[in-house]
Amino acid sequence: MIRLLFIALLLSFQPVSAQRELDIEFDQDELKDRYEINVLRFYLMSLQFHVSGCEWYAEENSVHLIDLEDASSWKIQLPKEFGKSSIDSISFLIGVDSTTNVAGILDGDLDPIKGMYWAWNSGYINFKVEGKKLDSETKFEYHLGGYLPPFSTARRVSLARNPQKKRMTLRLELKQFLDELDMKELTEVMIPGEEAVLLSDQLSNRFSFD
Amino acid sequence: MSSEQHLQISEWPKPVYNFEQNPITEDGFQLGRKLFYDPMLSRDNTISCANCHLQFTGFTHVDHAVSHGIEGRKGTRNSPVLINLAWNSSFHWDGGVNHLDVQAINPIQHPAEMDNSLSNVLEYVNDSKEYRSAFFTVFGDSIATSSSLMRAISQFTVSLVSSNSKYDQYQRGEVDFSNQEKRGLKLFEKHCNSCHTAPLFNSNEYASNGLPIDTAYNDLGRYGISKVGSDSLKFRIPTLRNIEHTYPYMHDGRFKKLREVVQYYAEELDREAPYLSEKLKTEMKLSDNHQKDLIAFLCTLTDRSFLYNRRFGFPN
Repeated sequence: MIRLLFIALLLSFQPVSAQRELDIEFDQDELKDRYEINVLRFYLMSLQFHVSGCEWYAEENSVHLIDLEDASSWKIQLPKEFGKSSIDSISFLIGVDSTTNVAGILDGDLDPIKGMYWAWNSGYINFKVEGKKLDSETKFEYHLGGYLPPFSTARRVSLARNPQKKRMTLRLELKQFLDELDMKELTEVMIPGEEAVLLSDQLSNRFSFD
Repeated sequence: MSSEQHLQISEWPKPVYNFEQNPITEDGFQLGRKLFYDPMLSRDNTISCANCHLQFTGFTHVDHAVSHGIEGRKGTRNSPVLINLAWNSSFHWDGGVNHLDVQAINPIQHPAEMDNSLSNVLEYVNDSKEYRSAFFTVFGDSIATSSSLMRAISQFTVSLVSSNSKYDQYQRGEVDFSNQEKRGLKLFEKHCNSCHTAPLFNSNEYASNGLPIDTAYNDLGRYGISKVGSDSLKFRIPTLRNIEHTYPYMHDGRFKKLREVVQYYAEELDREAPYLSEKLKTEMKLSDNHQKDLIAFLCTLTDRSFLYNRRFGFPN
């Protein structure tokens, strides 16, 4: 009897244990000797997963604000239907798509209260990083956004991984991104335009998936 | 007032505003009106939307070239009229705002206007019993969010429809124009209507009318938003409805009188000014009498049933 109950319990817990998570991280340890990061906040939107042997699966209402100040935002629960199926690729938008940028006022992660919205030039800031370069004490603020052509800045990124690995991690190589910038010339980007486009292109190469 | 009412002005184009996303109700309109006239929205509780948008002057700041916010801080542009906003596809002189429902964030946050934050305003309305009950009635939730707050304000501002001027009555065959007004209408159709297009008397476009840059502001207009060189010195083409009462004129309020405006277009405009609209490159030949006729016509765009409609005034 007890044995049966035990099996029943095991079975009933199974769907819960099958729920997958996507971990998001950045190279905090690698960069801390060179940079102090005060603000790091960005949108991941329109997530799609490729399940081995299957089609792309698109997450519904897929908008995630990842925020240094909110540890829970660095974990994304995947829909239950994924079960244990192995995911070999991910595709996502860094930032907010143009349809959402003209949709008016929105709540949740897209609420302008989150500090990721420009009111004077309506539109979302896709990616925001603020901090200091330690050796030269150079302060920097990069707010990347803008959806109007020719200066649209949301970037779609597609990455593959080894499907055998159990944990799934999307990693931002922030040190590389910052190292690549010429902080003597450019310490601030606060508006849409050429610079925001250039930095968004560079940023789109600084994600890895494993 | 219903959503449909906006859509049923015969001969008018279809509104840009999506009423399905924010259906206008009487309660919603009244909630928006209350917010519009509430100085508690500003950081020091001194200024409401109505300070710079006065009903009797077409919801602009009469006699102020540029407006001042809290503590007398001055802005850099003339306060725009709030007339027939449902037909606008962008807002502000540079068109930087792409949707009516996100416009009000600007005056709330701007340091030279209300210098407040959305969170503070939400905290204030959510602390008020009266507002909580109103938000519940309109949106089914007594806790206001950014979205319900902004949409409530839009319910009022989008309802500010002016469609009953003497010009409209003339079009409907209800009144006749004087001979001077008729001559003015002809001149208007020839020289002005291609940008200030009837029946809305605006265009959802940006153009430079050749005004020399005001070095106090160095305002490049649309370029500041688009960063596209050819957009330099371009501003939104505003509506001329109720123009008799919305002085001073232009994006920086540099002209005090309507006759100065007409005189500028007729006599002073530099046809070789950089970025000048193609439509302004040919000279307008307007004699003094022509100019008077044109002004007589412009005064037919005054809509008293709009400017003095008690529904749009300070709530009781």
